[in-house]
Amino acid sequence: MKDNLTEDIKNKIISALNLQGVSAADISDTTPLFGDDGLGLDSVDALELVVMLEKEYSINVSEQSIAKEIFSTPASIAEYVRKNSK
Amino acid sequence: MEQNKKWRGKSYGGKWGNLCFVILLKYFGPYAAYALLPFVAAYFTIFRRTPYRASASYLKRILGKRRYFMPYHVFRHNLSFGITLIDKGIYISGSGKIKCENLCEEILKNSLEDGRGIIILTPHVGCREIALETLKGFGRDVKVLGIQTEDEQIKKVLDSFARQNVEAIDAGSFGALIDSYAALKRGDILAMQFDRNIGDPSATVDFLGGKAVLPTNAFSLSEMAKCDMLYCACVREKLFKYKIVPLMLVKKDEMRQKDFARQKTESVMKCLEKLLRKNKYQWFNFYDYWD
Repeated sequence: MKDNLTEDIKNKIISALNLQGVSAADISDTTPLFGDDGLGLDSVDALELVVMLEKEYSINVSEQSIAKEIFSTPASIAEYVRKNSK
Repeated sequence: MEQNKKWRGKSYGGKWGNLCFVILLKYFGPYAAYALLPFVAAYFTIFRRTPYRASASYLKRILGKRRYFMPYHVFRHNLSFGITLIDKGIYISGSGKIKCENLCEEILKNSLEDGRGIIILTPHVGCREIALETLKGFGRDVKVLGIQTEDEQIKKVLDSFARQNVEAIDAGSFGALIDSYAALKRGDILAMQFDRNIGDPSATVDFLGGKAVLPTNAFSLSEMAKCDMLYCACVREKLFKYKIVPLMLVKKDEMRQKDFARQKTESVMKCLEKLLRKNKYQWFNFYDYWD
């Protein structure tokens, strides 16, 4: 069964980063967001994701030391949102 | 990313060369250090061909038809660079000998008024460290986004001499922009350099008759953190006297259409070109800058 939050996050990633020709179905829960074997996002995209979490879920990510882990896959973002939602 | 391949970020002089100047400054004062400089500048002009070529490549463009006897101009360029390094040492040692007039003061106060931070973008002109120390006077934390390339041993030598400098954010790390964004939201001043591409999103613009690749990530930061961007340069005027001059202000509420970053980058490089025509020996990008 599909996890609604992870699906929602995938759609928001696509929208925030304006990924042309990509749908939520093309991204698995464990697709790496950064690096050549995944979506290949860059540091500006990472910043876009931080802003997206602030706007959509009122969650702040202000330390880069944890950012790499949080933004590694759609599932890891969903897990972070679940833990930090008010 | 061609620019990134050419620039090695290697310091001149090595540990002993730097130590020699630090000792002169510490025990004999700035004039002793200045007195040694012409010999060092002459050595670099005659024996160091790679920096010579890089310097000549820039000087040919800025001097135009007046580019007779290039070794003389390269020597002046090296001398100017050495003076700036010594001045940096004098300034950060806290002796108070070097004065800096800040012509950006009003702009900075206005931009910081609403509690947001500001992005300060400087070129490799004059002495950036003097500008950074001056910025500390605004009651905000100052952070520098950049790549640490200083040789570890040289860094130790310089640190032993200087008072504590500003906090650095390593531009090479995954979340450098995230840290920068958080700093700006807290109201900090974030400084970075705009005339050297280090592999970030970039724009290709005209500069001194050639094409130069320049970073544009500051525009994303400014837009997302909703803060102003101020381009400025800290130029040496005369002995022990510097001034920070504004080049261009990008307000947070400016309409940002497609190609905004490239257009603004092109405009600011024109401003920089004007500044360099008046201070031609004060641009310190010692690598082959153009295609």
